[in-house]
Amino acid sequence: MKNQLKVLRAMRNWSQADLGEHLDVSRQAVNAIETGKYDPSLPLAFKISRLFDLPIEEIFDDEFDGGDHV
Amino acid sequence: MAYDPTVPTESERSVAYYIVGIGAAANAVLLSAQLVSLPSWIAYGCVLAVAASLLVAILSSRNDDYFRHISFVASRFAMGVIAIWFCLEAIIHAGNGAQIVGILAGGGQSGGNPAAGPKDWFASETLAVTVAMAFHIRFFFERYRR
Repeated sequence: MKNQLKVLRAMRNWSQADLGEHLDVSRQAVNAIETGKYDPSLPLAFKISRLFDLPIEEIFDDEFDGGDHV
Repeated sequence: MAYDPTVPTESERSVAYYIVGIGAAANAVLLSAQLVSLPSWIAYGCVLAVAASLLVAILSSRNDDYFRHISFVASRFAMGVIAIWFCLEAIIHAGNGAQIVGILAGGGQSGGNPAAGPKDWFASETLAVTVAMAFHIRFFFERYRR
């Protein structure tokens, strides 16, 4: 899943370790989320959303193409 | 959010990854000790390091989401290795069983001991070291894959 985490972090001049400190996760976890290797859990996604004061869908892009809803 | 002094810091969470790295190196040494003999203090030091690594990876509740995710993936892989190991052991012992039946049919005369040979390869220590290595390999594969 693509996300804006790296951009949002850079806007605040935070290192991955700084962001990890704010989110109660490791620097490795921040790196894995930024590079798209790992999709955060829902609680962590909400935490990121609250930290940057943005809706989840503005931070994370699920690349949904608008197909049929079930 | 209120300050909680028991919540691990970022650096404390990062240490868990390094502990597993040390465990992986110790595990590689232990695996080589299956082929060449090592001084006992090195061997048991490595056993302790591997044990610490696995305990941190599996039991610690202070790790983050990502660490738990890759630990889960690595644990699943290690379980798969155990399953394959047991399948191989069952197949080889089925061969031994057939040999025992043959010996009984032949009036109890045997040219060799059917229990000897492959049994050593399935020693519990070899299994433990191999499964721990499988865990560590999968852990780092998951961690560094693109």
